[in-house]
Amino acid sequence: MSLDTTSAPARPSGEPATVLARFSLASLLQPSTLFPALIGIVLLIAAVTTTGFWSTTNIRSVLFGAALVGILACGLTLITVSGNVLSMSLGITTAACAIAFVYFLRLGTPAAIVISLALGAAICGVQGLIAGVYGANPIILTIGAGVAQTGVVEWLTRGESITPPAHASYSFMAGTVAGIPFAAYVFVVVAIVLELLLRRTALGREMCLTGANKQAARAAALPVAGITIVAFAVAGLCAGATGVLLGATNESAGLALQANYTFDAITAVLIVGTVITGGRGSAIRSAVGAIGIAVIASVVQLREYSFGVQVAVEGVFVLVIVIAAQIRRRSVANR
Amino acid sequence: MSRIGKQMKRSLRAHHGAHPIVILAVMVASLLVLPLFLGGQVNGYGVYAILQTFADYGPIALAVGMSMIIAEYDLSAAVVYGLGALLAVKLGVHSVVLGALIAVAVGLVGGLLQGAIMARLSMSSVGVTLGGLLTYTGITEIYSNNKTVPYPRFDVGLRLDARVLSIFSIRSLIVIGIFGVVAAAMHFTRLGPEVRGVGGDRRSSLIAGVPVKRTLVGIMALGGMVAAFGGALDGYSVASAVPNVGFEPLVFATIAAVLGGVTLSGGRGGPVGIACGALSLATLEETLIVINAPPYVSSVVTGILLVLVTLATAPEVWKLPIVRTLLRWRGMRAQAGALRAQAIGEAPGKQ
Repeated sequence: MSLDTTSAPARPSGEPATVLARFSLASLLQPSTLFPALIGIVLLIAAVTTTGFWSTTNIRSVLFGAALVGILACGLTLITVSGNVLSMSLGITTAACAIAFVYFLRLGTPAAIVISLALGAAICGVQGLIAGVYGANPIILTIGAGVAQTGVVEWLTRGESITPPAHASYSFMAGTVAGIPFAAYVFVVVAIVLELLLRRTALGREMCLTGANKQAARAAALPVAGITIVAFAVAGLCAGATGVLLGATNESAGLALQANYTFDAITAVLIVGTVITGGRGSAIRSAVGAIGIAVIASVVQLREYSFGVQVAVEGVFVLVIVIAAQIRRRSVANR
Repeated sequence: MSRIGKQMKRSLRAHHGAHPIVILAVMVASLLVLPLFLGGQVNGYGVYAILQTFADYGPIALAVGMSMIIAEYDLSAAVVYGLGALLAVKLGVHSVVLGALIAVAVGLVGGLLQGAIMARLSMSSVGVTLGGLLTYTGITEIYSNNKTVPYPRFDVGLRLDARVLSIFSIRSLIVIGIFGVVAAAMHFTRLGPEVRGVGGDRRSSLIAGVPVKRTLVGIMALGGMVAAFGGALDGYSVASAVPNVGFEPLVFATIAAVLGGVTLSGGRGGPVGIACGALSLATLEETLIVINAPPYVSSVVTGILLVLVTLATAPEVWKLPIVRTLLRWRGMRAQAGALRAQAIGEAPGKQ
């Protein structure tokens, strides 16, 4: 079983780095690499041939959209890699954290950010506890948790949008730095940090091992339950961060903020070939997937197609990639 | 794992799968008792309303439940329901039957495709039905132009929902009939053992000669047809179709299936249990309406209920202190019974 996170074996000095050697032509022509690359080319062509795509405003909008979905997708990658398939309620958790951020701005911006992050970590951490300690099915668990969160948020907000206090200072999070949205910087930091966590830390390696084979991980005395809780909690932190950025940008927060984030994040993770059963994955790849989702959304909007076109295209891409990855796995296993 | 832990697991597995009739009885009792304390009134219309909710969501519950019995999970069932409603509403203006048939045909094709991909490539349903869910959602939104589509023939809905024998309607009787047909097929043919075998242990079923791939494709196709048909009936009933049905029908279907004795690991349960589960949940929702609970209470209750049933059917739920205590108590009772039997000379192990 090969892991993305295994470090290169020791080599005599003077040999080229292993990283470059991995990108051989043979590996590029495999379906699991070829199809994401083909889809990337299709998106590039669509973007190039769409009027207005390369305007400054649109690029900024694409970067912002990619940042929000990307932060969620990076967090979701940890859930998938650790063998917990997916979370079906990151979108509603994001909305809940956005509402909490806007509401607690009365205590100051730093406090509001901390509360939002803590809330996201707590909501998802509890789900991780139920999945990790008791082995509950994560898909169905997170669907139920999402519905419960919807009800609680409706109860607390009485269905209304929450607006921030007049004197709160948070607009820097909605603005740009050197022409690039602030959210994009947060996205890059989150993607790099989570990629380093997966590739360079013992926790990251343990997550991959747990996802690859839970029984073997238990036999190796890995704290499987703790790893699951941490994976979910980090995803919750990402939902909290996305919620803060959303709340800051919209200047009000309500349930509608969840939009399509759950499925966009899932699509971003799957569209780049992340193995849904766990054991392998990359936060950077999921980040690239999120950029792809944002490009699709932008092209669809600029061409004045309906939102349904975006969702249908994402659905077809997911099917193609998931099938291609499975064909690849079977051909490797049959050798 | 300790010996006690293993015994606990075995005991739980033996009693895994709820007793659907008991749960239905509890829900009916709540419906009758709670309004006495919290206000509200139950009458014959309430029973009709429960059966109407059963008619609304029962087909999705059957589709999702049957996929769970074969140890899969059809994420796309609710969206197929929505697409079925849209097709019926748009294409059934001149012929109600034609609209419903087209909906069923589309559901069948979609289910066959998904099932074929899963069977041919030995893939889990999560990725395939997720892709299916997104694709169906997109198609529904495009075809509906992202707007609610009205159905001009109100008479169809009125006739479908007119009260029959005061608590039924033609629509609820049709849905009951669908459950009956599937239940009969499962009980009187080898379909039942084959479906449960595929869900319980796919490899052993294959060795035993069960046509695993055909069963998988068949169940997915059946789910697609039933969900689409249920959607068509619902579209005619409310004389409209919405572009996005949301998660609510899927949540209802999942809880109904688990309350009805279907386990998430597969191999157990059947249409009768799923019907009981759907009726139980419909009764719970009616109870909340009768006691004038605000709308968000339904979301909170159904969401928490789904989390609890997922926990209750989790493989390691025996780690919960309350479950350990219950099992220990059950273990002590079994031991006491065995000792008593020994003392009076009965066969050991008989309770």
